[in-house]
Amino acid sequence: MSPATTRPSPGRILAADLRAFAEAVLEALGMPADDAAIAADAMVYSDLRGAFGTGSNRLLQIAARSRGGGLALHADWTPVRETAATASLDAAGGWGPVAGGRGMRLAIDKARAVGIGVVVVRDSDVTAAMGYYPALAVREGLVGLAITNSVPLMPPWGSSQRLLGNQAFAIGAPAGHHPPLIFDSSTSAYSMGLMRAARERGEPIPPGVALGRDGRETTDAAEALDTLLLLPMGGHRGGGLAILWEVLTGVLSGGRTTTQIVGMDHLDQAMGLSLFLLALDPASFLPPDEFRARVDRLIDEVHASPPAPGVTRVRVPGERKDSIAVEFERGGIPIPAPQATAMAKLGAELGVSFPDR
Amino acid sequence: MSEPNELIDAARLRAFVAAVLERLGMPEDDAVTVGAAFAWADLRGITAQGIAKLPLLVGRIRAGGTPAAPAIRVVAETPAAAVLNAAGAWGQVAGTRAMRLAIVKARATGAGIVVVRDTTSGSAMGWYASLAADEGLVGLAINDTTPLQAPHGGTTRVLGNQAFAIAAPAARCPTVIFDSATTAISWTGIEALIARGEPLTAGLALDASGTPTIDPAAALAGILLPIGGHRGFGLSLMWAVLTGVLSGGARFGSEITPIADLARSQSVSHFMLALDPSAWLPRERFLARVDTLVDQIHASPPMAGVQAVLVPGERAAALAAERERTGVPVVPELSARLRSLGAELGVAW
Repeated sequence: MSPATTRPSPGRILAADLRAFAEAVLEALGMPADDAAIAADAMVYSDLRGAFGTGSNRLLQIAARSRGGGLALHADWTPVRETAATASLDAAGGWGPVAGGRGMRLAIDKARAVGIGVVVVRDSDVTAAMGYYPALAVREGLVGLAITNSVPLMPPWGSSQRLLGNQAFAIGAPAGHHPPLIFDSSTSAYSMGLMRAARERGEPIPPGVALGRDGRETTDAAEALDTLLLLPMGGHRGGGLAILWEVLTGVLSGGRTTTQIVGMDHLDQAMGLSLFLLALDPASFLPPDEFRARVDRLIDEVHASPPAPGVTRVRVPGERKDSIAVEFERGGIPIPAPQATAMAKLGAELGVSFPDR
Repeated sequence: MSEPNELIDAARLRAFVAAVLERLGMPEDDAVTVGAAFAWADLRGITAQGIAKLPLLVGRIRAGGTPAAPAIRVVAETPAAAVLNAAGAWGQVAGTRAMRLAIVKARATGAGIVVVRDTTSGSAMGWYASLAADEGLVGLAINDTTPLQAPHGGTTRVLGNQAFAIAAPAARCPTVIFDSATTAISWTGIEALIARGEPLTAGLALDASGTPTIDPAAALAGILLPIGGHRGFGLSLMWAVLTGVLSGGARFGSEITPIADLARSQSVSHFMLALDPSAWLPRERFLARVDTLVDQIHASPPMAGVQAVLVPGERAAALAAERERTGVPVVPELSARLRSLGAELGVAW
């Protein structure tokens, strides 16, 4: 990435300044410095990609949840169980990106040693942007996969009663001259973020993505956000994937599953999420340069597909967000004003000054 | 529909496949594996990936596209990972060996990944995942295949439907086996519609000119669309990375040749992952927790028009139990073809 300029564009905050602010706030709240560095890095990763909902505004949530007692700021990261290629971590109610970041780092170490590493984490708080975890592996030249469960948002296929989370997951792979591939998804047909955006604009949501109060499909965004009965992507296919992702997260971790998971708005209660983190070292399979060159070739093939009418460019997963990150890294991050104001207020309470804009 | 389907005992079906393949020079172990894998699919109603594929395999062996007895070699290995060069071996031969090696590695280190290069389509991917589940492990199997899917927003075939399966063992409940393609409908699903003369549901495919179609034949000549638009495409692309890109095979992405090109090696790749749950939890506790999850799904009230809420693989397991007793139905044209194939090789149908 090109070196940042020393001054951001008007109204923007430099990534380095935002990271330092987030770290200082987290430490002032009582999080150990090394964990605060991971949490801040994950926040800035999201902010740099324009995903402000999972970025530094999470500082407010950390403050509220830790003060409420639901979020623990300290955890013992010694593995509960461990083999050459696997480990189990107990986050004991700790912040998701810290738990997941530590879990992925351990998976990376194992992958370096024996080719692959799989770490499962239990009893985690909010997991935020899933793309961050494979991105940690990608930074080291490895392939990464991360899966989480969530508070129930989807009925199993064929039912209209909530049971499974939308089970967000992400997979990343390093490329050579192209930006890395980072695929970030959930198993639901539509994201909560898009639903909220539709509600704000007063627009309908597409058919087949949510059930309404009567247990039938609805296109009313407000009703869908009220019932929280999301439908899986591709019907029974996404529904099946959601079940197997629960097996790899909550079931395998030994932590909470399905209806035992608590929503983040219950500030005094631990959420009990689980994370499944896999790292794979391509060097165990083929020469790493050859791997990267082959990823480049795959990306070139996708780019060479003539776009459908109305499409300007055929992109690979992560490409759009990466180009935003390059721009924000250079010119600063345009944190939305209400978020900046709230963060500045939190900083002031804790004696940490918010970066100049 | 004058002639009824023949009902063939699963054990006879396995033995017939193995005998035919041995006559063609396949080593006994591999021939038995293919027989077991075909029967596994037929028992579960996955007809297109069962014994119906034997004439294709025989055709490939005779035409030279699939060697009957290739030297399958481990070309890279760590305690938890390996690459198998299948040297053109039939998918079920190479894939089964790969998953078995992944299971051995998972038993030793907690997790094992084996990637296969230069094989053919894996057929029913649930077979490989269930090999792990039968041993009390969690299995994930992915293969890349002949390109038939456009990237999201694109108009040309770049990726296969990248079928994959994940299986988890339970204690008293049947194994959970999720088996899926990354396209909204699979190739064999479309072939079944053509056979029945039925149209496609809208939104699943484009014709060769890139226009949406409900004509299944036009879809096969055209482009299949991914599950959930960009989501299915992203998954499909990442599966291409884990299979053809990672295997170091001769071909990946749009370069993979159709299995029907009998004389050419297809150069498909497989990815097999096995996880030993006892690396994380006491074995019995893991199995009981899978049961609990299955119970919760079963306890979900069905929607109007739905009889029961099922877990993936449950319907197929029930069908398999029934067909183990009653036999596997084989359509008359296929049984005639298999009978004459057997006669040529001196194997009784």
